[in-house]
Amino acid sequence: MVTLKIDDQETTVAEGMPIIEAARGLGIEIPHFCYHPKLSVSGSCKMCLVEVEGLAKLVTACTTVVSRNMVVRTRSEKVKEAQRAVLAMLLMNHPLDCPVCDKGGECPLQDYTYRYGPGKSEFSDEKWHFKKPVDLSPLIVLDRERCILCTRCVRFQEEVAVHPEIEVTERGRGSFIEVARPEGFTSNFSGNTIELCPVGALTSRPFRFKARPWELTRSPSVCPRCGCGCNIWLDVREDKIMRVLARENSPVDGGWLCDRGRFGYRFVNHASRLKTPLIRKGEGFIPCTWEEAISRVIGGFKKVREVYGSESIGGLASPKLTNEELYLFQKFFQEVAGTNSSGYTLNGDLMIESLRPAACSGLRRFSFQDIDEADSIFLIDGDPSKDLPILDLRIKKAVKRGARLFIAGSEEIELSGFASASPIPVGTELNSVPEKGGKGGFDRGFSDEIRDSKRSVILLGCKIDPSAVESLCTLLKEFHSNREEGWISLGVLMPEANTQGAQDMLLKKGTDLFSDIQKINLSPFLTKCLFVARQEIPDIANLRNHLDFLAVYDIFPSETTRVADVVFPAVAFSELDGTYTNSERRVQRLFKTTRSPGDAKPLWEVMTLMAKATGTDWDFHSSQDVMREISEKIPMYRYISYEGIGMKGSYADGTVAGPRYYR
Amino acid sequence: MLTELLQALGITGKYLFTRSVTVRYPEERRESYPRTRWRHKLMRHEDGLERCIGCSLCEAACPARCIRVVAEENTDEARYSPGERYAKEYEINMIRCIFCGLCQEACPVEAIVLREDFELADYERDSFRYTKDRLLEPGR
Repeated sequence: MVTLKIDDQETTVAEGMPIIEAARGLGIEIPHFCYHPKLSVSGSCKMCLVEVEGLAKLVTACTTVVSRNMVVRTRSEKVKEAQRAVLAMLLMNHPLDCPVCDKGGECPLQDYTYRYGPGKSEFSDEKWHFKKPVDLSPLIVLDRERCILCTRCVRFQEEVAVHPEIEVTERGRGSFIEVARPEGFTSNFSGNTIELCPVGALTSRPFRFKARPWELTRSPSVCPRCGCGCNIWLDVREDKIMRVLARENSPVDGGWLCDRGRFGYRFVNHASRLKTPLIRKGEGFIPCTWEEAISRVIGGFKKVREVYGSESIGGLASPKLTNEELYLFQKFFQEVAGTNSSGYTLNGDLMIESLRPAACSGLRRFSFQDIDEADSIFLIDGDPSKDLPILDLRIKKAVKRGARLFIAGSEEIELSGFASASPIPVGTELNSVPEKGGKGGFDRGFSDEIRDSKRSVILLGCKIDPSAVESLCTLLKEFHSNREEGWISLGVLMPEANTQGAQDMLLKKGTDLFSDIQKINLSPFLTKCLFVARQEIPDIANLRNHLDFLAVYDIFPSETTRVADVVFPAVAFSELDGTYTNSERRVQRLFKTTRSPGDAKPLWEVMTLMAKATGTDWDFHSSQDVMREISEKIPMYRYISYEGIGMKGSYADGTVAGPRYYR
Repeated sequence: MLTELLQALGITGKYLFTRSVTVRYPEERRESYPRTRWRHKLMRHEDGLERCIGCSLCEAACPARCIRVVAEENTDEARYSPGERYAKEYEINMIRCIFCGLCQEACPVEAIVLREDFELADYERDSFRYTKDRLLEPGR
């Protein structure tokens, strides 16, 4: 620990910390452009110059590491003059674009010029001109004239995303950012450069000119696109989502967002969203009230039940729904309809058995941060780059730190380039030996590696064979109990937003129902009436011939809604309160931010109304009521409550992940 | 008693024959000053392009929060203003407006100005939401 003085305030910080971080700990702002705590240090912008007693010249606070009894001054005359000079230099070639620039209002260059800059410009010559704007990709717009060449974007792509697709070209005054390869700027993390850019050089094409920062209302939420559950801010204007920003929750997302989550919000405001309940009339639909639609559904269910029995009623839910919606979904079908044929599906593919705590008790509870600390990472039949992109960043960071990555899978995935040995086929990982000719020439199987690594993380893709998981768990528990220090952590890569939540809400995996559906050509088909929530069923036209009744709850019209008897309009993720459980079993809250178009209702409310129509009165008036019952009825969620979750989510076993405060 | 009465009547008489200051509106109108602040106008450049670049600085400056701007990008085929950006929607709620002129001061391109037309009375509240077509100077 080192003690030093900054602006006459004494502080003690860890060794190796740059002055700029020590100052931030004291609440002292040192203006900076190229420095970023998550990127390598550049020291090129010279904005963070400070005076250190004993040194003749000013030094950059981002490169200078604290030393014992250092005396730092950030507001001396020399420093102020330097700050004015640096800003004058930056503004020399910076275009007068503030009125038309999307960054205006939230621009560090604007703010620092106001606080530390010269009052007027002494530059009277012609500024440097580039052709603008330039499309770096369909999502990112570059304005070369505004770029101050801090290289944050280039460093991010190179170090964090490990997709070095943009670079600085030319030299001196004429330097600019350019796409470095003919395939283009296709990185799945390109959107982060927009948030990193301290000026309006890199801006979002979907957000271009849509709103000014001061017109936007900011609301917290969770990204609904994959099982990472990255935390986001929704910026709303006039009840429409204008853009999505990263809300840093470092243990989950590291402060980054992938492009799917960042730019994948426009479906919420889309004009073709379903607005009212629809009842079939002939070949088409007529809009109707919720009472009519629900009574039609209950009528249909009752008729089928009379003829074919309770088991012929089926329900299919999607992992895009929140925990509360899924819980009431299964409660309706199990208690009211009296059927066991309800489940969730993942695009029709098999889901692995739920990793219930009993199976992996004794192992360390999996969290994404385990990847940050692991010595070895085993990836079995999964592709984080596709399914959970932010984990991809974490794994790359771990490999750079020195962890070893072993992959079992048949396809070449993006992470194959980071593996320490060549990939082995799935199913043989515990015993088989990677090829000798591969990288490093290992001659040990995974089980040997696991046994000898101090800290291991095993990540399973969701398509893995359920029986293999059981044997893997047994083996791992044996290893785990035989070691004195270190740990083994086992996690599953859940692809959709709430797949883990869907498993936990007592839903059986969808295999029973779907293999039923696949049997339609072979034997008498069991399910005669179906309720489908937020899920599109492949080959629905064929299936429809075997069903007496089909009710669908969804946000957009689709092939599935086209052949339904009753269609309910669904709410999107920003239009309801609820919770998502991500792949590490962290429960995070969604907040109601925008109003649904028309008359859409959340599924938990629809299920309550449907139960009421059959005569069962449930007492749920809000999703919080449903969560209370979840915490009573499902042992794994017994510590979860809306009050306790806070803004950072909490683990299902009750460990609160962050401060319990609300905005 | 009589003296006071006659004095008062004298004052009344004096004023009976002096010119009144009443402006007989609408036949007569007051003189208007050059910087008088009444009805807004969105001005154009000499070549016919709109001045407004959709920056929303007027919206930010307005103390009554009565301006609404929705911006859009100029394309080569459809160019409304010089530069990258123009106002696709521009709306001022004249009932909320206090005619302070801060929007005029804030505008970086002298697009929104307040001019001398003050005869704005109307019957419906809704008709006081002046959209861009009512504010934009004609001519292109």
